[in-house]
Amino acid sequence: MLSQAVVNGLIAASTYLLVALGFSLIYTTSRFFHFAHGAVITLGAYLAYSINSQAGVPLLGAAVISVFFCGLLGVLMNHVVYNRLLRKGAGSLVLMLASFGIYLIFENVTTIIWGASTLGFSPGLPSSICKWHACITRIHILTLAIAAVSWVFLAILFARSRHGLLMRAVAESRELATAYGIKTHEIVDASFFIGSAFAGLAGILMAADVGMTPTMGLHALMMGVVVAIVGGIGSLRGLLLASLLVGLVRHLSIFVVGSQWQDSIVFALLLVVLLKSPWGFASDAAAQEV
Amino acid sequence: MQVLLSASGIFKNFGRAEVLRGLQIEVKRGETIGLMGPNGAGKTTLFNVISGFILPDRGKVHFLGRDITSDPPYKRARSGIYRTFQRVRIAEQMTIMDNLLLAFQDRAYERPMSALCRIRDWLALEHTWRRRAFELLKEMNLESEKGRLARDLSYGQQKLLSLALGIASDAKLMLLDEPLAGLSSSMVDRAINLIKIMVRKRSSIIIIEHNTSFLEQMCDYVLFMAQGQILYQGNLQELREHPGVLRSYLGGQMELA
Repeated sequence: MLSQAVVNGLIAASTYLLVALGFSLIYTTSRFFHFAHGAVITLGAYLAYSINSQAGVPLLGAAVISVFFCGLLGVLMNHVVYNRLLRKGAGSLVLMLASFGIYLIFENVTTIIWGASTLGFSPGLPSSICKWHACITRIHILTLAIAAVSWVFLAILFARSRHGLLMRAVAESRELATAYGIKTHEIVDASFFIGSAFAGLAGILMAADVGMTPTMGLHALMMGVVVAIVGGIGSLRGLLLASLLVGLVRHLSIFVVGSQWQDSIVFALLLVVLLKSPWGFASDAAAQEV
Repeated sequence: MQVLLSASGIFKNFGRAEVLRGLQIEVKRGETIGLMGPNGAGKTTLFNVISGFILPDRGKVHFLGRDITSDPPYKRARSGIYRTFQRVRIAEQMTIMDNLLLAFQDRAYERPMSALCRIRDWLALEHTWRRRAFELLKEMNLESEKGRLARDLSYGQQKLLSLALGIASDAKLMLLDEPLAGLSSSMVDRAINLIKIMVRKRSSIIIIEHNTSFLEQMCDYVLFMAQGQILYQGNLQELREHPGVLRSYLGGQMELA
């Protein structure tokens, strides 16, 4: 029982990490609460579903196409909505509200197109491996692996590549980056693309595990945001730690309280961490990472 | 000598205040120019207009023969205009080394894909950059501290870094806004050394500065600005006797030592 809760916690941590990586990547370069990130999570799952079951593309191919489209969708949101608002002098509060609007529209459209009931990829339940009273499916293993690879990918991108250096500069100050001759709009676009692709990926993995509903993105986003804040936005190490903490606390809490309390426990954890240090886990040294 | 930068008929108002009034300036390749004038003469505004942080109400700016009047700042930086600010602006959350690497200009490897496709060239280039950055660190006496965050540097060190960034950028035109202000005497020497490197690299330099002995030593000639116009262009000796210049300093706290 305990071992299963730990496994579940780790799986949850992986999806939260994916969402949080994308969210904080977008946040650090564009500095506003990209609420519509949640819509991208949902849409990733449904697009893969339709490409797979309606267009007949094998699931893996459908997932790749869907992830790519999610990346494009993020860039599109940035161009069609955010950039225009920014040019008109909108502040981060207006952007957040607009983003919330986008989320709601997408959620409703998703419900209209695919219906409100839970859908799942076929074939249904994948085979699972059981050991020490815990079972893990292939999707679970894939989820863990993809989260780990994504984390390493970003770590290398930031620490080693020219592009990562430019992203860090934009994250620090857009104006300063302009003075260095950096095309900040391209850097922001790139972070929207990568961040949204991560969101789509997270959506597909979650849907492959427990199915998809039009509201799945909202909950995933909330957990991802808690991870991003607890971990300290911008610190990759902090995000990794926070995702493990949030995932494990959420799933181990069922030993103490009922499952309907899981989210309250997570947000209580958020408050405790923030009261102790408002920057989350990111120490000063770690804050430089992104 | 080839004209690098020319600005003509530049007007800029902030509300009712006329900050630049039909300003005219021409900079040739390799020239070092001192820019003087009382507070509020519009010196920094001129820098903002040239570097693109402010668009003029009227007038044209040409750089390398191209009209850049409406180009955004990043385009101007890419075409070779570097500026420092009175209040130092560097990437404070990044290390000194990263700041320098950021300033080097080779746009071929900005996209991760292009860097990956020519990974060997890219690594070789980065190696050269690191070596050059190290040379600059030595000039600043910071060679053992390249991993420190820029915000942990002293004010003087940050100012030196902002000059070094200009050298790293290989900019053709350097706009230095009071590079020596607030520096201790040992720091002043280091700053002057860095500016001399810019001169040796044949960059054109405009320096806003009140320190006249420094300007005398460094500049080909000085411009004197007051009330949004260039009042005088020539050497410092004659500037001291220029009636218009004296008048504009009357009652001002700056002295022409």
